[in-house]
Amino acid sequence: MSPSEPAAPPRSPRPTACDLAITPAQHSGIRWAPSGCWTLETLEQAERALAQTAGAPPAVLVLDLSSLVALDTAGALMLARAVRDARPAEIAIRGGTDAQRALVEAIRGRIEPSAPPAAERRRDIPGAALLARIGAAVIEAAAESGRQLGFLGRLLTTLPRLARSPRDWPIVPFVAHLERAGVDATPLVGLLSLMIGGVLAVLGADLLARFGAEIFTVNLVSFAFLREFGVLLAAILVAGRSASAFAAEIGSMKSREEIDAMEVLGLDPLERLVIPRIAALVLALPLLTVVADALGLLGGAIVSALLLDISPSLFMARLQEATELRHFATGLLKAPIFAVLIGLIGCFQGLQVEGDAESVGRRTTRAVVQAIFAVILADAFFAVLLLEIGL
Amino acid sequence: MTDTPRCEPEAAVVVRGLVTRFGGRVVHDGVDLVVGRGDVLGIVGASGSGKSVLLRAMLGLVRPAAGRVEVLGVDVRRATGALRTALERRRGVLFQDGALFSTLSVLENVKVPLRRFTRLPDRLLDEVARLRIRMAGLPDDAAYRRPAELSGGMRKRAGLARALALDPEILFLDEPTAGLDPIGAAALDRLVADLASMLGLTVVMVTHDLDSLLTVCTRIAVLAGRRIVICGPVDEVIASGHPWVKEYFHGPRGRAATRGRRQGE
Ligand SMILES: Nc1ncnc2c1ncn2[C@@H]1O[C@H](COP(=O)(O)OP(=O)(O)OP(=O)(O)O)[C@@H](O)[C@H]1O
Ligand SMILES: [Mg+2]
Repeated sequence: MSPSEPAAPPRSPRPTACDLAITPAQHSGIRWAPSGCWTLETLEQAERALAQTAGAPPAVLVLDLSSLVALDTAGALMLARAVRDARPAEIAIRGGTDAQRALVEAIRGRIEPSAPPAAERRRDIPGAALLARIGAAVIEAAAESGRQLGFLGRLLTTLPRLARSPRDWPIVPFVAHLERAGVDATPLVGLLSLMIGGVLAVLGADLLARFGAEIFTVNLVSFAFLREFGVLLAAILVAGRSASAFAAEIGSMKSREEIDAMEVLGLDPLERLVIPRIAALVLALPLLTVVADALGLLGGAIVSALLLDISPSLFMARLQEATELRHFATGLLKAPIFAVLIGLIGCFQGLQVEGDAESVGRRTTRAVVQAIFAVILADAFFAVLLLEIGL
Repeated sequence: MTDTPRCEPEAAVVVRGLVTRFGGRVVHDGVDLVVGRGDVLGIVGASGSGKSVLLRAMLGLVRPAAGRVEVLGVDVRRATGALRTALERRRGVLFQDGALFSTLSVLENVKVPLRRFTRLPDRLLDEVARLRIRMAGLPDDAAYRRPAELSGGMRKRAGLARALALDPEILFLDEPTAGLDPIGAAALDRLVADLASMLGLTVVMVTHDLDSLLTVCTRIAVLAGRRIVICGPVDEVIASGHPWVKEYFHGPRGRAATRGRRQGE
C-alpha cells in the first residue's frame, strides 16, 4: 500500500493463490520466482510450493520477486526459511518493490539460523507420567501442610501485638466481613435449616411410629439439631460462601501485587486481611448456629403439627422436657472452632495464589473443598471425644 | 460531515465529533482526528487526558456519547457480521499493560489471533508465532512461559507480538515503549518504522516517549482540554505556538530529545 501502488480499496484483496516457478539460472544457479499472493492466508500452499525446492545446495540462488502480487511477513518467512534450508553459496534477490526486498531481507535476519529440532516432547515410559503426578501431588500436599502450620504460627504471633495496641484493630474491615459472611448468609442458613428440620421430623416420625413412640420425634429433632446439625449446616454453608470468597479476594490481591505493596509499606497482610476475616467468622458462625438451631426446631414443629398431630404447644412442652442445655452448648462451642478452620483455610489458600487467573480459580476450589472437609473431620473428632468424656 | 458516509477514502481512521463520558465526567468533548493510510501517528497529552480512552473508542470498546469513529472505512460501533470480522482481521492492538491471556503461554497468546482467522496447521502457526516473538524482540525461550513469569517490559513485547500476529494493516499501540530499556525501546521504534515502510502499515500510538515521537512518528496529535488541539507533521507541531506543546517539546526533556533532531538535519 505504498503510494506508488494503486489505492487500496476498503477491503484489500486477499486472493488465495500462490505459486513458485523454479528454473535454472546462470553459473549453475537456480531461480525461484514466487508468484501470486504470499500471505498468511496462502501459507500452506506456499509451503507446499516450496517443498519442491529440496535438493543439493546451489551455487547461486536468484530469488525473483517480480511476479509477486502481495507479500506479508508470513509469506516472507516461508521464503526466508526455504532460502536458509537450501544453503546456497550465494543469494541474490531481484525484482519486486524495494519494500518487498527489504521485507525478505529483514525476515531472513530474524529467523532461527537452523531448522528447530523436530520433536521437543520427551517420550515417557507408559504410566510414568501418572506416577510422577501422584508423587508430585503427595510431595506438594506434605509441603502445603507444613506451610499451613507455618501460617497458623505466624498468625498467632500477630495476636499478642494486636492485643497490646487496640488502636490498630482492623474494626472497619471486621464489620464489613461480619456483614458479608454473617448477615448476608442468614436467609440461606435459616431456610435450609427449616427444611432439614422438617425432613428430620418426617424421617423420625416414620421410624418411631412403628414403636408407637411418635412423640420422641421431638427429642430426635432437638437432639440432632442442637448438638450436630445446626452447627454443621451453618459451618458447611459458611465454608462454601466465605472460604471461597476469602480465597478469591486475597488471591486476586496477591496476583495484582497488592499484598507486596502492603508489605513494602510495612502493613502486615495477616493483620489487615486475615485477622478481620477470621474474627468476623468467629463471631458470625455461632450466631448463624443459633439461627440454624431455632429454624431447624421450627421446621420440626411445623411438620409435626401438619403431619403428626403433635400440636405446637405439645411440641414446646416436650422440647422443654427433653432438651438439656449441654446439647445446645456443645453445638455452640464447636462453632468458633469451625469458624477458625474455615477462615484459616480460605485465607491461606488465597495467599498461596501466584500469578495468573487460573491459579485464583484453583485455590478457591481448594479452599472450599478443604474447608468443608476440615469441618466434617473436626465434627467427627468432637463427636467421639464428647462421647468418651460423657458430655 | 456526519451525513456523508465516507468523506476521506484515503483515511485509515476518521474520528468525528467524538464525545465520551463516564458518568458525569466528560473525557472527550468533540474530538476530530483523521489518520491517513501509511501514517505513523503519535498521540500525546497529559496523564489522564483521555489518550487511552480515545484509543479504546477507535477500537469500539467504549460507547461514545456522540460522534463517530471509522477505521478502514468501517464504523467501529455499528459494524456487524462480516464487516466487523474483516476489521478485526486487519487491525492489531497492543494494550497499555499488555493484556495477555494469563492462562496461556506467550506462544499460545500469539497463536490466538492466528487460530481465529486462519486454518493453518499447528506447525505453521508455531512457526509464524515464533517469528512474531522474535520480531518483538523476545528471546526464544520466552515463548513457553506464562505472562506471570515475564517482566513488565517482556509482557509488553509479547503483547506486541500478538498485535503483529496477523500482519495487520493498522496497528494501535498504547505506550509501546513505556517500561522498556532504552536499547529495547529504540529497537521497538525501529521495528515499527520498518514495518510501516515495508508493509505500508498505519500506526496509531499513544506515547510519552519523545524519542519515539521524533524517530518513528510522521504526525503528532495533541490531546488537551478534551479535544485534539493540533494535529500535523512532526516539525509543524513542534514549531507551533500552543502553550502545552511548547512546554512539552521545549521543556528540559523535550529540548534534549529535539536537539538531536535539529542536529541531524
Ligand atoms: N472505565 C472508566 N470509568 C471511569 N472513568 C474512566 C474510565 N476509564 C478512564 N476514565 C477516566 O478518563 C480519563 C482519561 O483516562 P485515560 O486512561 O484515557 O488517560 P490517559 O491519557 O491514557 O493517561 P495515561 O497517560 O496516564 O495513560 C481519566 O480521568 C480516567 O479517570
Ligand atoms: Mg493511558
